[in-house]
Amino acid sequence: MTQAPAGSSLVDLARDGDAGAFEALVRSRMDAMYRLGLAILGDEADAADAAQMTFVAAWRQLPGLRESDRFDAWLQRIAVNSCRMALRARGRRRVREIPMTEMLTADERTLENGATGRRDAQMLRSALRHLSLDQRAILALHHLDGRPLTEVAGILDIPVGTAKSRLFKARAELDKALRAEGRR
Amino acid sequence: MNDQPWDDARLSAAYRALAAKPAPADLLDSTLAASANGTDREPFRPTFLRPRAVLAGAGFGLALVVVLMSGLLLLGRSAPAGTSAPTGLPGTVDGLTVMTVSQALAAEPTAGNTQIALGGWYAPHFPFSCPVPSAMPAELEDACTNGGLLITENRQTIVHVEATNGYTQMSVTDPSGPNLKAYEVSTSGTAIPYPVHPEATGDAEYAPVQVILIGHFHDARAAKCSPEQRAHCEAAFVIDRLARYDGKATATATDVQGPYRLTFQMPSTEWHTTDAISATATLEFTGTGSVDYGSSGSGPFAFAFEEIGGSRQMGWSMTTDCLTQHLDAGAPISSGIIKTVSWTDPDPNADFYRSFYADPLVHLPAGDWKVTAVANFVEGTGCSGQSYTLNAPITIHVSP
Repeated sequence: MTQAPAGSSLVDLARDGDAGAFEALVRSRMDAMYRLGLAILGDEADAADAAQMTFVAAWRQLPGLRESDRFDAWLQRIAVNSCRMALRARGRRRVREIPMTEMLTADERTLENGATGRRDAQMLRSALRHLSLDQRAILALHHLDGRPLTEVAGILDIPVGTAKSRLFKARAELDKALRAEGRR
Repeated sequence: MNDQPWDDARLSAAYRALAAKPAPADLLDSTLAASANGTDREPFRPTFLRPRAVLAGAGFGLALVVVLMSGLLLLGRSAPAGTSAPTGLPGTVDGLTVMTVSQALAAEPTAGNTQIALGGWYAPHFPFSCPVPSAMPAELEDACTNGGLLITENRQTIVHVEATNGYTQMSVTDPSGPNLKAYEVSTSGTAIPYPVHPEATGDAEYAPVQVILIGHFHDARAAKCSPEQRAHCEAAFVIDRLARYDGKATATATDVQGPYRLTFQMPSTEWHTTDAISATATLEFTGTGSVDYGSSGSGPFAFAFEEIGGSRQMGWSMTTDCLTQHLDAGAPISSGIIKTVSWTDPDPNADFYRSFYADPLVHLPAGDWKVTAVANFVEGTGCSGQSYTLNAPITIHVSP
């Protein structure tokens, strides 16, 4: 299952400068881009920055999008790049915020796996700190929404063979980091 | 403590829990204010950014580096059927006769590993989600994570799309005529573009694209396959490079120095100003065993853009940190385009350079451009050995 994009006419309208059409695109995709950012960056403030950078860049670059039916893959590629920039910006901050992901929320209490899911999410978040941005991105793209590797390769614009290799290495690194987290 | 293994299901559940939050309520408004304030699409205006992002932008310097990530699965092969020549395709490519799927399958038993030009129709075909196997399968083994492009002799619909309750469900029809899987492996050249997604246009299928692939059977990687899969691997068609995609020719440049080969490939030499330009650079160690090398922390690749007959030049640069890595024979590494831009104000092209950098994709103004892939690294550890700089240029034309 993949997210259903808006009709190409909406993308076409936004490309032609229709702010209302672009707003509709942002509204329908903001949560997805924010979640992707969270899965890659593990930090709510960073994810919000990355989501905003994604849409700002998308608005500016839409006139250059020749194939409107590739909008979602294009947007996700921008999102991965925005996560990269957000990660770099993180080093310049003086104050760190306590991520909400470290607090138990009502939403999390209702998760399918309850406290176990929260604990796993915290372990995952900690383990991801040991991975490169590229490794985090390919893992998030593949595991968050179950995207097939072919689609991930398309989003990252790399050969499937390369995506396969990167995913395998990233998974191995993540497994190692998760084992280390489990021993703590 | 959860003692369950971190299998695919647990990992996916953890990811969903990690990201199980909607965007903050104020993010939508601030984003719309930042992006849709006016329709002139002026360059990025940091004053509209959320406060923390402004802080991040304050460190923006003259030397700018941005990395852009700038690239299907399995079916069986049918028995040879028709033998008609591919329609709508050239008879030869690079001195090779273009074969139909039937002709290629018929030639396979005696072809050895000689190169073959295969013409046919390509459409994505994939399982929707599969767990990563506990061990890395050999590249040509029949495993759900291995990339294989379905090539059919005749144009036919393979993937159907149906929209239900705001989501799309895909279904797959097995090909009815001659077909084979072509394997895109780590040494394959130009990334095969991902086909146009049909959802937005309301089409009910992925439109097949006519391609010509240069490749071979009986690849040496077959030796790494398990005994049960050896025959399958021997008969797999391995893609060396993409020669034609939807009628467009691809371009390749190489540079060889000592035991290193840099291959630079672009899907086309003809682009438009609205195209997001893509390319793949691959660095290969042609010696035996493996070699240590030191390079920029972001990797050994860089790319340069030079306007032919003009003044705009986006040279390549790298961070000076030395990261020691390994390059194994038979396991090349590749990269999409990485943009680096530097200039010293006042520079008449400064605005263009800023715009080029800020673009998350690669767009170029109309004209002729020399695009060069560079591999820069130092043999050994600690960046104290012999230095190599390989250059592979391709000239492209960008039309308005």
